[in-house]
Amino acid sequence: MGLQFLSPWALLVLLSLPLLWWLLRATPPAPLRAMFPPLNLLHDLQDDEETPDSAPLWLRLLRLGIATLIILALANPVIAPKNTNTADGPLLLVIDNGWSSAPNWAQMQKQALGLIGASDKRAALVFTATNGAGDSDLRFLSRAEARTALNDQTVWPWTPSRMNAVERIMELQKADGLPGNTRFLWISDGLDHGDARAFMSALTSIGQVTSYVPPTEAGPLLITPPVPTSRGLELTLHRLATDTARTVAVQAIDDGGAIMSRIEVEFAPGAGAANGEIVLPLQLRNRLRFLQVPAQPSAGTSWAFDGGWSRPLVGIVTPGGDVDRQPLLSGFYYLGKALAPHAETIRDGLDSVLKENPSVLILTDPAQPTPDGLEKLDAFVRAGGLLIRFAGPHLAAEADALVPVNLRAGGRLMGGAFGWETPQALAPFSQDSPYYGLAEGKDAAVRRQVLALPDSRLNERIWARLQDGTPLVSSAPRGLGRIVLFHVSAAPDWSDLPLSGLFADMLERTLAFAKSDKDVPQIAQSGRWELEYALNAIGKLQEPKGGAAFLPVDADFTVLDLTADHPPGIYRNGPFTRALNIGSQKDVIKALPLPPSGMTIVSGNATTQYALKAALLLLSLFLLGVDMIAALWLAGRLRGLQKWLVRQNTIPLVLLVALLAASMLVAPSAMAQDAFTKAIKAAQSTRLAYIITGDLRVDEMSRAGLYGLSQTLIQRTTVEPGAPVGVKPDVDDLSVFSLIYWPVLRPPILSSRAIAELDVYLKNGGMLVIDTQDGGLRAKAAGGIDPALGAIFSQISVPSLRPIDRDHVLTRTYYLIIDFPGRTTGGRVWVESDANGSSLDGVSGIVAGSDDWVAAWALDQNGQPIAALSDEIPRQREMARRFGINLVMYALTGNYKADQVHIPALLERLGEK
Amino acid sequence: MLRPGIRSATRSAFASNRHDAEDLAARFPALLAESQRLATSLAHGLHGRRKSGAGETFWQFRRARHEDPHSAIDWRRSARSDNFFVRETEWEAAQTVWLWRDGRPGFSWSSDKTLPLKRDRASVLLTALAIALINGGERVGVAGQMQRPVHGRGGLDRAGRKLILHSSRPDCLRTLALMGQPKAVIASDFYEGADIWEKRLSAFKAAGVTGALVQIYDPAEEVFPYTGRTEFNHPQGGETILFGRAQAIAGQYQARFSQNAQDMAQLARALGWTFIRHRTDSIAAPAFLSLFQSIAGDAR
Repeated sequence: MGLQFLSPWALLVLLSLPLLWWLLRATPPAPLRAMFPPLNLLHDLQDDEETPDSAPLWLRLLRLGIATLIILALANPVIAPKNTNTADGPLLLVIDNGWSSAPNWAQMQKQALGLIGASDKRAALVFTATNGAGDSDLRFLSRAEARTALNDQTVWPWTPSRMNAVERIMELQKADGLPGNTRFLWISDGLDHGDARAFMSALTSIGQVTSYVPPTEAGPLLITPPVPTSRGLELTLHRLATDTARTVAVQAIDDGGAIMSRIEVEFAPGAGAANGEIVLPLQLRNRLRFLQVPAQPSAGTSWAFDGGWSRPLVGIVTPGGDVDRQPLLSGFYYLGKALAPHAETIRDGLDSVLKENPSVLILTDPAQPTPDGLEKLDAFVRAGGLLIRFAGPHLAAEADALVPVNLRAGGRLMGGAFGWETPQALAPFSQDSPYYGLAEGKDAAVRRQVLALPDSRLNERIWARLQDGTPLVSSAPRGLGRIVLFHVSAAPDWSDLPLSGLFADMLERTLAFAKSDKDVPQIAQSGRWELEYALNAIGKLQEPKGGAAFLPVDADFTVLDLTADHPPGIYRNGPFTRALNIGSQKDVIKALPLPPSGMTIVSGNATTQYALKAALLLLSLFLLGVDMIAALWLAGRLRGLQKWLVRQNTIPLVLLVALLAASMLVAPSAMAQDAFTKAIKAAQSTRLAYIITGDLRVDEMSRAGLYGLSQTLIQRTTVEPGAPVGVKPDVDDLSVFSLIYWPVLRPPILSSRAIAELDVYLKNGGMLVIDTQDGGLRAKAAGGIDPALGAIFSQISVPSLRPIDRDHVLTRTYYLIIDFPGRTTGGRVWVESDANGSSLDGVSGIVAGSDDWVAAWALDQNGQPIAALSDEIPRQREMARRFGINLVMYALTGNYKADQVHIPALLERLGEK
Repeated sequence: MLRPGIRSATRSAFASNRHDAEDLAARFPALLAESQRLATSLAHGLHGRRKSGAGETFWQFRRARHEDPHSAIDWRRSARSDNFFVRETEWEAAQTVWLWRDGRPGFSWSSDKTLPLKRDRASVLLTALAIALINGGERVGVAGQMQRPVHGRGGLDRAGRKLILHSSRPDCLRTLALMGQPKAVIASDFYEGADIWEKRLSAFKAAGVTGALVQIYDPAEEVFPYTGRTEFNHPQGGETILFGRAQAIAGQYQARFSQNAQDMAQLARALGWTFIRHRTDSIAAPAFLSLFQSIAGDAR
């Protein structure tokens, strides 16, 4: 590194610095001005110092420094890397020209030309990627020849093979064609293609090497395999991690070459990978052929899709209604999870699904078709559709015609309390089964199944068996289509199969039988893959030039070395196509390892200069500011500020602000951490929870109320709750609480995460006790429903509510009560209207009221009530406590006491006898 | 209640624009209240002359003499006996005190925002004195602002307003000296020097006027806290004096300052007047008390 001045004449001005020093000494600082009425008393007074105060030494030095900085800046200093090409000798240039050189090829070429031009000696050029044609013997060329050779060379869309280059240099050395003073230069693409370390050490063993690396922020990008998602596809771009942020546009191209979508992918500073999602509807997605980065056209930034990209449309027939109230018990959940990576799924009633023209239909047992529906299904299969069925109680009771094998009525139960048999595992798949090769899940125990009646063709129709030989999956063609029957249900109640990874694999193999107008990839059994379209260096698909490239039929496209023999592109084998992309290789983007001794790395361009002018001027500007403040301070102009700072005690204030800012930076991660430990702690005992509103008074009353209720519960019942917990739905895990009290005094502002959390909480059987705490005043004022409640119910999906009646389970879960009083009484209490119909075991997920229950429950640390009650009914606090106990019992035991509702009728009947 | 119009503002020596006048008027109620508080700290009554004369208070009934006019006879008292009686009141001699306060820019200054202006402190002292005197039945005049002294409640309002809101030049003191035998109170900082003031007050000596000189000064003027390179300006403008090291002359200045005060005290003694000093950062009550005693004491 050397420091140079582009305008050295400006440095002459430095000679004037002593003059400046003298001037600064002579100039006194500006006087302090003071009003002084007894001025005439000051007449003729002499201060003993004749010479005025001059500026203090440090100020003079500061000003001199500023002047020096400005003069230096005007002299235009630059720091330039030392010219290393001073030694004499012929050049040997190793130039990377694989796919990753494409973005920087022009600069690399220019740099090589510059290096050749700077030397008057001969040069030898070694290119690491070749197409095999120009592999003549390495020799030293004249400058003109070398320039022509360099200009003729281009970038190739495959990986550079550096070891090949080393071999050629070695050959040259062996042939004694390498003079001792040869200078080795390596213009690299900055990536380790797996052999960089070996290459570097081999090269440095021959001689001293200077290596030029492109700046990492402009380095090559790479698209790795896009992942299909439910909305489209998610892609990941890779780069060498640098500290700069970078935004890259990615375009999706369809089979006609038109741009279908364009997204921006943003690299965070320091990140080596960035994700982006291209949202495409299914129909458009099936036309997707190509991804490319227009800003950096190269083979690495292009992704060609093959025939396997098209996803079949699978229709899942649902019985209608809300089947997902308890998703983990529903087969649809497991089907959806298993199918999502391989297919598009739609879920609806039979008729609606058929309208979408799916290639596969899945029929589970709850969605038992009507006779009319059976006909439609039959027509669908005969027209070439694939029908996948799952067994269940209905099918076990009475089999219809749409089954591949004849079924024995009743099914089979293994491992039950009254059975001899134990649950069965799967047998290994036989060779003619489409599942052959999948690891049979040893852990997938089957407890119930439907059995097939033996017949002559049973064997060939069975795809999978249990260990005792009974069928698990059977299949038979029908018309142009096929029916596949899983002899278990899709939910984990009959078997563990839906819980195992095997389930997804089996479904994927099954989907291959779906008819499709696209080329659904199947493992081709014969032939070879022939290059149909080649990806060129700038990421365009074109007809392959020269001899066709072939790959064997069993080639693994993800581990192939990309060479001139099998370049990236689209390969075809009969009806099937497969794409070979650079991004399908693993660990492609990797930085160069540290250079061994004997190799000098020069980053960026050799001619890069760091101009210091701006930095120097900025520094002097800053110092000028310091000087100004110092001058003001010396002139006494800052006394007011000083006094103010001292008087206002501002320093603690400033510190406080800084501390707050710092804590806000740390807070989110700390909060997440807190939420986790809080959930663990809360889960260790039964706890009542309340939602923190942020209003300290309300929150404290909630805490005291639930504390009081917990104390009452401990005294009177076997429920012994821990201390109540305040929760924030957008931070905390709600699932560990069985009852959450929610004071709603004004419409709450809920984040989308909070809404989602509360939704999930309700769906999974939690209970929210919502209390407006106003005795229903706001509801009356609004003419009906409380505005805050309205705001909640418009955001959280809750079933319809109704006022509680005298027969509700809540009135008899522990005490027999008729009122639900709190601080006030008589307010209306709302519960879910369809208690029995809900999937939550008949327990209402919402209890909403307005009587400020916590105030009535609230106890202080001494066990004394805190709040005064309206005392509208006798023993109101006791009644409120009884209601609280009933509420907790209701939340904990559900409909356990629901049968008591019928006691009057039972007694009546007894009396009749 | 009292709003100085533009006229009074222009007439005032220094409150040469409306802004100053309004600024002053805004302070007026506070200053007046302070004066009243100061005045009530003094417990004193109306002092009679202990003999009959012109007054309002009943003194005695005496037999009517033949030279008494009919109208002087108190018929109500006379009807109770055979003689005629005349109602006599006590003679209450009201003495007149003329007040003057400096109002020039140099006096209208304070070294710090937390300190009152010297002029305001002087106004407070003099107004308090006026209140105390008028409550005691004396008469009060504001030199340069009034032709005749005032008394009673209405007079108090006028005098207070004149004292607080208006200022007049020291020239008016000469005419004051010619107005008989009043007492006079002069409040200023007296920085012009004893010579000039001696000339001004010589006329009073000739006229036999006695009174009090009240010197009011700012702490900064006594302590001289200035350091370093400082340029001193007079609030009036004009001349400036620059010192390279202000701290170097502090000692000399303080000597001159106290010399000036001694000269003024000397002058006051020579005139037979009282000389009272008051620093604006101390409380006003002691200065007021000695001022009141020096003025009202010999009237008792």
